[in-house]
Amino acid sequence: MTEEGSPPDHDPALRVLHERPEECAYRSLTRRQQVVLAGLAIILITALVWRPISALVVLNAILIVFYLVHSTYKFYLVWLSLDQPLIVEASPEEVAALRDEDLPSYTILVPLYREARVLPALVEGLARLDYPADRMQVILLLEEDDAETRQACEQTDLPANFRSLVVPHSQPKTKPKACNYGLEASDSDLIVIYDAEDRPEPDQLKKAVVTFAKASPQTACVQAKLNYYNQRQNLLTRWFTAEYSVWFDLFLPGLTASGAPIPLGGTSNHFRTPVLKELGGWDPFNVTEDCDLGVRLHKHGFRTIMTDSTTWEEANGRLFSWLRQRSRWVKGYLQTYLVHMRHPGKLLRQLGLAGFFSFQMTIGGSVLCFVINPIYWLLTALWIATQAQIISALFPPVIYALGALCLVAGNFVFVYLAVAGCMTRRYYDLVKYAVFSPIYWLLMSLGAYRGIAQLLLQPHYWEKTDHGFALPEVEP
Amino acid sequence: MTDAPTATSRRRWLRSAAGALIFVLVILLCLRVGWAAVTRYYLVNWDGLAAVAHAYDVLYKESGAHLALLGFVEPPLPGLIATMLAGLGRALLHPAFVPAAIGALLLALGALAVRRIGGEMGLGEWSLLFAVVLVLDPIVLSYAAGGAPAVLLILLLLGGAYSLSRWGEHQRFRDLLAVSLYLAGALMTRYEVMFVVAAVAAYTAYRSARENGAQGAEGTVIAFLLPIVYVAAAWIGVCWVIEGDPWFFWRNTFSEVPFGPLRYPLTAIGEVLRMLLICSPLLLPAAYHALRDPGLRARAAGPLLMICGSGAAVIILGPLHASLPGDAWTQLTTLVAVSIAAGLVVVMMAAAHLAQRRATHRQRAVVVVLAVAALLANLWLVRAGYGRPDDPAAVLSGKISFADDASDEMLAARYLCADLDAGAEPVIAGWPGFAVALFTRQVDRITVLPTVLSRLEDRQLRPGDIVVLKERTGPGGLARPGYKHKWDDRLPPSLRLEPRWCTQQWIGYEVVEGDGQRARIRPRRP
Repeated sequence: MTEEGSPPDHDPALRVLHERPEECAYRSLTRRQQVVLAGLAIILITALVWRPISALVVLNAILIVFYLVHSTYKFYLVWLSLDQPLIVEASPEEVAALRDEDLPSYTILVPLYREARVLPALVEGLARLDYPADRMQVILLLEEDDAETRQACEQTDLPANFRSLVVPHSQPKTKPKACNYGLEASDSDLIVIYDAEDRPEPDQLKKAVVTFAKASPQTACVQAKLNYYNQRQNLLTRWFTAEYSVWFDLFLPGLTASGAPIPLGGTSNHFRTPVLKELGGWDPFNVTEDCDLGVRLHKHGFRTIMTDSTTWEEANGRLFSWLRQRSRWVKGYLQTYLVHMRHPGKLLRQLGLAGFFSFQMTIGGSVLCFVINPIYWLLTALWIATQAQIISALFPPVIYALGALCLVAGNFVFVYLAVAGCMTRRYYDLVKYAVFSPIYWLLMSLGAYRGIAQLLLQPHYWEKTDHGFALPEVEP
Repeated sequence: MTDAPTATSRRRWLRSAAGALIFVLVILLCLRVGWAAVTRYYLVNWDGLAAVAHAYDVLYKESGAHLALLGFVEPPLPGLIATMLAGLGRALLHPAFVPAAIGALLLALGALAVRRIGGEMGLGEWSLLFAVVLVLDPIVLSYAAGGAPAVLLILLLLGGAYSLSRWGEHQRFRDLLAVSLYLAGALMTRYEVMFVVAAVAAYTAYRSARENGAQGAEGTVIAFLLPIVYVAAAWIGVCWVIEGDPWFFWRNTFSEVPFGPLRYPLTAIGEVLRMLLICSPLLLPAAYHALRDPGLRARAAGPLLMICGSGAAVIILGPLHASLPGDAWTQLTTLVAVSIAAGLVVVMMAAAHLAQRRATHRQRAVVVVLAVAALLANLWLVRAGYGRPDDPAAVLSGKISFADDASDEMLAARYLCADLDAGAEPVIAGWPGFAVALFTRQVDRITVLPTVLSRLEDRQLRPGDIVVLKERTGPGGLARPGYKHKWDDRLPPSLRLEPRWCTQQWIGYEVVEGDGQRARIRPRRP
């Protein structure tokens, strides 16, 4: 799990690096980006030294305007989802009408690393999927250095259409690299990834088939919704569930409807295999390869839509483990942002103005929000406590009015989005916890700062999320 | 193959064009009435003008926008909306016309909303009829042409009532959120809407509990109340930060009102029924019809409960209303607005239901009988003098209701303009001094104090300053021999006030040294 050493030259899992180096996160920053960022830093420092208050006022104004735009955009997307169902419905009748012999072949990739504990439940869950066994193969992706899981796999009586594939020990040691090995080994029509702890709804594969059939030819990916089965385990899982409910039930459908690039969820994304192979698979150096792939699909003219099926996952209910997971996500989002912003003009042409704007708000903007939130809360608290002139000086009248709007309306919008997520999912008992989600935001900000630090120090380090800690009594 | 989309797009284009035409026509009508009210009858709605005056303070008086300038006595939303639109004011011919322009815009939006609601209910082009009913209602037109905050209230309650009816039918979260946002806005337009909010909260809890149990009720009520409570809390917080008193708005609104025991419940119930019959005569038959049909009941229950909540407020606050200044129409503005807005939604709902022939013959006959009875009762109330303050023809000619004669303030402003031309920076004390300042079009050079004595004493007056005070002198007041104004005693011994001009209610003074000569008093306008 370290990043020493160079990647091998002809590893099939590293196709993105070799075939599309401009889209690979092997290097977080290109030389040109380093120069631009250094230039901006010099300008900022010079301005801070020369005219500190004016410089801070300008910076403050930019951040506040960004925050307002970001809040409005998110609310707009959620409102779109609330206004009309934006997910492609696959009705039970349509699913029942599918004939086995007409179904496309499917490959399920399950990357496993130190997951011996959840293996039996995983096999049981996947075996429950309603899809003909002769058209579905499950590839368990095992790591060469994970003897425990390999041993557990050998001792488990796997169904006939299950097979394991050992991924050789090499750098980078990430989930996307393992998935790329699985992709190479697959020749099916469709391919999907599930995590070890996932429990997809049994008809999900068939729903994905129906959704693909209804979709335009440009649709290369169908994303299922993700949610948690241990939502009521503790306060953290309740907040986490509220967040996921907003993201997958409201925000992503809104993005889909607006034709923007979709940051895919980590699992349950169903691809047309040839398209995925054409794009070189996942970027093994990006720690949120899902988000990156969603953007790459869009850049190359493909589309992602959502289907009305849920995969139930295990919410991370342990604070430190949750922080590690969050910091990886933030680091990955930043990697994705930096990779695709290597050529902003080209990205603008590829995504279009609306898509480019959405990319800025969704990928870069989300991280920026996590970063600036605690700063503004701290400023507000300091001002209330001390009425310090220096803080007042940062807020000339118009900026003060906009800042007040951000504080009063912006924060509320985000709290209410969490409530909306719970209400949409009919998690009525979680609504009261969603009201207190600003505490959760603090944790998210903490994770963001940790992620940024890691991007600088260990850009490709994959922080493993441990599973199997959900309380049995809260499982569905 | 291409005919269908073309026909659809043409229909859509025609519908949009018709909407734009309605919008423009309503604005023109309202502006015409408002213009006539100001220029022919000197009629001004003080609440509407106050919102504009606060907006002018924000926009033109201070170098930086300051929320305190919105005024903390009246609910803030009309002031905020006026702030967004008052920028047009300088281009308009008369400042008193600005409220009419704002009211016209809101009424035009209301007409479009009614048309859209009717369309969604299946009324087709008949929805236009209901839009016309709304616009030509003399009560609504008076509110709009005077720029009264009530027209904003009606618009918000219209949205709230319709969204609640949709939520009652489908229980979709989006509709619940819409109700919540509309009512939060309405609460910030008129505080008494809290009773409507309470009624709707109880209704959502009941409906949700029936379908989703206690947890469903809990989550739904929190989701519904959260925006409203947050907005109210933010307003309290703003009062606290800026005025140093979280309950400043409450004290200033109700400080003079004694809360006593409930003494007049029967009178209050009678008053509520009278208002319902006047403001929305077809509501009662429509409610009867809606409550008989289970499908329609689910939709109509919410809007009807909004009216009940507002009616309950009148009954509960009977002593409060009785002791508030103004007539019953001023005191019962919330009930009037709720019955017009929610009543229109229920009537349209019943009309759509009847038009689609979903009711039995007997049911329709009963509705017709009830409607005739309600219209006769309405006619009787109007003829007996219990009805609308002004008849529709008078309102259309510009003699709008719920407005006061502002000719005295306009005259005072003309006098004050001469002082301003001479370089004075006057202080006006007394209500509605903001109107005098606004009419001079030089608000940035005038200080307006809402109350007279306490703050005037605090001011550092110097010789040469102009002070305008509200003081009923009557015709020729200052010229009467032996007239002595009462402010000298409150000034430093070295200063005294010399009257310079007077109107019916306003006197312009100059601050002079103790031995100053008496200034010439300008003649009042004939």
